[in-house]
Amino acid sequence: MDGAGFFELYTAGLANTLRAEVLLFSLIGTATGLVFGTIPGLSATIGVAILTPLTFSMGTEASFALLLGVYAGATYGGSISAILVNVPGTMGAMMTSLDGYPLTKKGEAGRAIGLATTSSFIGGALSVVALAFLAPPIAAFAIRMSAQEYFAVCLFGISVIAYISGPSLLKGCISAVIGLLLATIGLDPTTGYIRFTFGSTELLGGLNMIALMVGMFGLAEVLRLVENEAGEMRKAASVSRVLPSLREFWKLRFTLFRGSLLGVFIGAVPATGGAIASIISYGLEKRISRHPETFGKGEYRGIAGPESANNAATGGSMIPMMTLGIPGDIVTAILIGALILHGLRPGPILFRDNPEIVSSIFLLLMISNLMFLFLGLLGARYFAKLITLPRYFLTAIILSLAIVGTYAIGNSLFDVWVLLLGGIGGYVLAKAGLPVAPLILGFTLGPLLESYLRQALILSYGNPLEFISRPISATFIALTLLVLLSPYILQLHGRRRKSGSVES
Amino acid sequence: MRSPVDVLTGTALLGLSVAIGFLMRSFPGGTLEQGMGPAFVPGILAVTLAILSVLLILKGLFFGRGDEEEGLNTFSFDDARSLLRPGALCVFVLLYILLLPRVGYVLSTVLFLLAVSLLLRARGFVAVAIAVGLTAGIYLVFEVGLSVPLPTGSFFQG
Repeated sequence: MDGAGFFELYTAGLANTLRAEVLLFSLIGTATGLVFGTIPGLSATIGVAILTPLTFSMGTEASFALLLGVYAGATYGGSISAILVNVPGTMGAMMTSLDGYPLTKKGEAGRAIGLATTSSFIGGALSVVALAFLAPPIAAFAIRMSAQEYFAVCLFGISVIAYISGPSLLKGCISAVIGLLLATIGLDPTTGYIRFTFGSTELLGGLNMIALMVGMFGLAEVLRLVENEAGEMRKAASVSRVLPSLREFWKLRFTLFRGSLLGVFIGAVPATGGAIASIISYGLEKRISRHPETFGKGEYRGIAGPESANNAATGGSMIPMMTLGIPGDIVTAILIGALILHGLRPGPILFRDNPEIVSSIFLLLMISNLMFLFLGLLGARYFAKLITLPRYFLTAIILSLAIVGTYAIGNSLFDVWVLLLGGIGGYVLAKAGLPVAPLILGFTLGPLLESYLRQALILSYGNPLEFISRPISATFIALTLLVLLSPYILQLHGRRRKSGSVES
Repeated sequence: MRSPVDVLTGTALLGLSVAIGFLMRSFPGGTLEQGMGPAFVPGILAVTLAILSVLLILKGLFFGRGDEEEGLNTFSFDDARSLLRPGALCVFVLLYILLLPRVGYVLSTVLFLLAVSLLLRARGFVAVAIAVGLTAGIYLVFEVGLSVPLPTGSFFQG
C-alpha cells in the first residue's frame, strides 16, 4: 500500500466521526451497554442484537457509534454486579466475582470497581490499537486469498465454536449443521434455484438474519428469565469512590499487558471471545503468581487480568470480522449483519473502497472505551442500582424494543414471525442441551461457505484436491480436523498415560 | 436409557433430516466443474445431520451425559411447571403479531405489554403505566422521530 493510502485508513473517518450527533450516540450506546452488562441475564449479544435493527434508518457512523458503544460498555459492565453482589452480569465477568466480591465484603468495593473499570479500559484500548495495526495488512494479504482459503477459514471457525460452546462437541456440531441448513432456505445464489420456501415469496431471500438473532438471543433469553418466580435481586452494597493508587497500578502492569495480549489473540480466533479469554487469564495469573493462595480472597491480579482480557477480546474479535468477514465472536457476527444492513460488506473490499468507514470504526471503538472509563469511574454505583429493577419492567422493555425493531427492518410482519419462531427454537434447543452460538454462526457463515465451496470447484475446474494442495487452505482444513478430533485424541492420550502409570 | 432428552432430540433431528432429504428429492445434482448444483450442500448437511442424530440417540441410550454436562440448564421432565410462564409469553407474542395488522400498533402494544406485565406480577396500576408509557415512547421515537411507519390496523381504516 502506498503511503497516502496507509494513513487514509486512520484519518479518513475523522470528519464523519467527530460530530456531535455521532458522539452522542456513542455515549447513549455505551451507557446502554453498561445497563445491559450490569443486569445479569442480559449481555452485549442481546443488546447489540436488539439495537441493530433499530439503526436501520440511522447514518452508518451513528449506527456503529451506538452498537460499538453497547459492545464495549456491556463487556465491561458485567463486572459491576460481579463485584457488588457476586453475580456476574455477563459471562466475561465470571472470573471477576472470584476476587471482586471478597473485596466488597472487606469494604473495598469502590477500589475493586475502579480497578475493573481501568483494567477493562486498558485492555479495550490496547485491542483497538492492535486492530488498527493488524487489520490493514491482513486485509491486504486477504486479497490474495482465493475461494479455497476463505472456505477453509470459515470451516475452521465453525469447528472452533462447535468445540467451545459447550461440554458436548457432538451437540455443538449438531447446532452448527442446523444453522447451516437454515441458511439454505431461499434462492440459491449460484444457480437461482429455489430451495425450501414452500411457495412463500418472503422466504426467497432466506430467513432474515437479524430477526433470527434477535429471536434466538433476545426472546429466548427473556423466556429463560421468566421461568422462575419473578423477584428482585439483592440490594447492591454501597460504594465509596476510591481508585487504587498509581503505585498499585504500576505493580499490575505485567498482568494488564498479559491480559490484553491474551484477549486480543483469543478474540482474533474466529468465534472465541471475552469469556474464554478471561478464564484463561485468571488461570494464568494464578499459576504464575508467587502467592497463588491470595487468589479468591481479593487479589487485585484476579481482577486486572480477566477484565483486561475480556475487553481486549472486543478489538481482537473485530480483526477477522473486518478483514475477512468472518466473525471473531457472536457480537461481531451481528455486527456483520449491521454492516450488511447499511449496504457494506466486510472484507478486503471494505478496506479498499470504504476506508472512511474502516477508520470510523477504529475511532468509535476507542471512543467507546473512553466513554465507559468515564461513566464507570463516575457512576458505577448508579448503574449498580439497576440490579434491583423488577423483572416485568425489563421484560417489557426488551420485548417491545425487539419486536418493533425487527418489524422496522423491512416493514415486515413476517420477520416478526421469524423472531417468534427463533425465540421458541432457541429456547427449546437450549433445553435439549444444544448451544445456540454454533447455530447462529452456522447460519451467518452458511451462505459464505456454500458459495466459496462451489466457487472453488468452478475455479479449479471441478478439482476438489485444490483444497489440500494450496498451503493456506490445507493448513486450516488440518486445523479443523484437529479441533473436531481433539476430544478423541485427548481421550487416547489420557488412556495411554493411565495404562503407562499402572505398569510402572 | 441414560438420557431421555437426548434420545428424544436425536429422534426428532433424525426425522428432520429424513424430511429434508424428501423435500430436496427433485433438486438438481450438478457436476463438479459447474460447482455442483443446489442439492449438493443441503444434501451433505442432511446426511451429516442424520449421522449426528443417530450418534446422539446412541449417546442417550447407552452413554448418558458426561460429568460436565450435569448441571446445565437442560430439561428434566419433572420441572415441566417452569414452562408455564414462557409458554404464556409465547402465546402473548403470537396474539400480538396477529393483532398488529388488525388493530394497529398502539392498541396491540398496549394490550401486549399489559398482559406481559400482569403475567410477571406487576401491580395493576404499574402494569398500565408501563404499557401506556412504553408504547407512547416507542411510537414517538419511531413514527415521529425516525419516520418509520408502524402498522395502522385494518379495523380502523375506512
